[in-house]
Amino acid sequence: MNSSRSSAVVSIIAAIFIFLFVYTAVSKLMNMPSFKNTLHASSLIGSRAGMMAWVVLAAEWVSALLLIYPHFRIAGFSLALLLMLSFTVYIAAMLLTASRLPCSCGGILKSLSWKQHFFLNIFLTALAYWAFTLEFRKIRSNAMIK
Amino acid sequence: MKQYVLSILAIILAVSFSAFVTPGNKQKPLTVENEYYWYRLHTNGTIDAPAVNASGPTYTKTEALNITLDGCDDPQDDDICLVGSESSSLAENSTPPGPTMDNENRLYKIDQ
Repeated sequence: MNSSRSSAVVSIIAAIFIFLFVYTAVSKLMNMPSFKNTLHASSLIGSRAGMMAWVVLAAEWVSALLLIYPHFRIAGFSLALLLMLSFTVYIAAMLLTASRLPCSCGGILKSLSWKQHFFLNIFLTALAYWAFTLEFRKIRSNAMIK
Repeated sequence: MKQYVLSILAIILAVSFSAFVTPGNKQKPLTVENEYYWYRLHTNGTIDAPAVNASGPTYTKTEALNITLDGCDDPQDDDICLVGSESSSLAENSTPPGPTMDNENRLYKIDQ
């Protein structure tokens, strides 16, 4: 993949994650009690729900902000990848262990089942990883040119 | 500036979308409803503590229905999904409080 096409792909993926994180963060902020209750209802999180809610929100906002600026995109993709991996592992653990599954996250994603959400997260994780590797190669090739 | 256009567009779309899709302030019901802490039940009918909203605010039945868990829809089926109590510290495996008028503190399971 040549560098201009690679840059375009990275920009598009960055925009997708900016949209995703801003949308889900705003949805969670607008319905914070419900989000905390959902985390609290999860046997994996339980009493840490309050803290986890704010940690997740902060991470989403920070990742979206980092992805806006090309200089910080590598950090943004790293955080996005970490977030998506965490969400995917959480959903997988809930699907495997929970006897009752609480309602899923905010907004339009609420209409997805847990399994559908799991496959969507796998796709988004792969997308984040792809963008991270493209950006990493770009930075490395720029460093070698210098 | 061109490199920021996509990002700015994504943010505007995300905020606009969330404003339209996410439920905003709900109208309060006309009748006065009491607020409760909502508990799941074990299969033997006893309380599964703590309450699902133990660390948060109390909810009326209407509010609980709007933010409630998968499986609760209140079709007045036999199987109870959640029981409401004014106490946030009902003991595990205790007997659930009785139904109030018109089952105000009962949420029933969705039809399977």
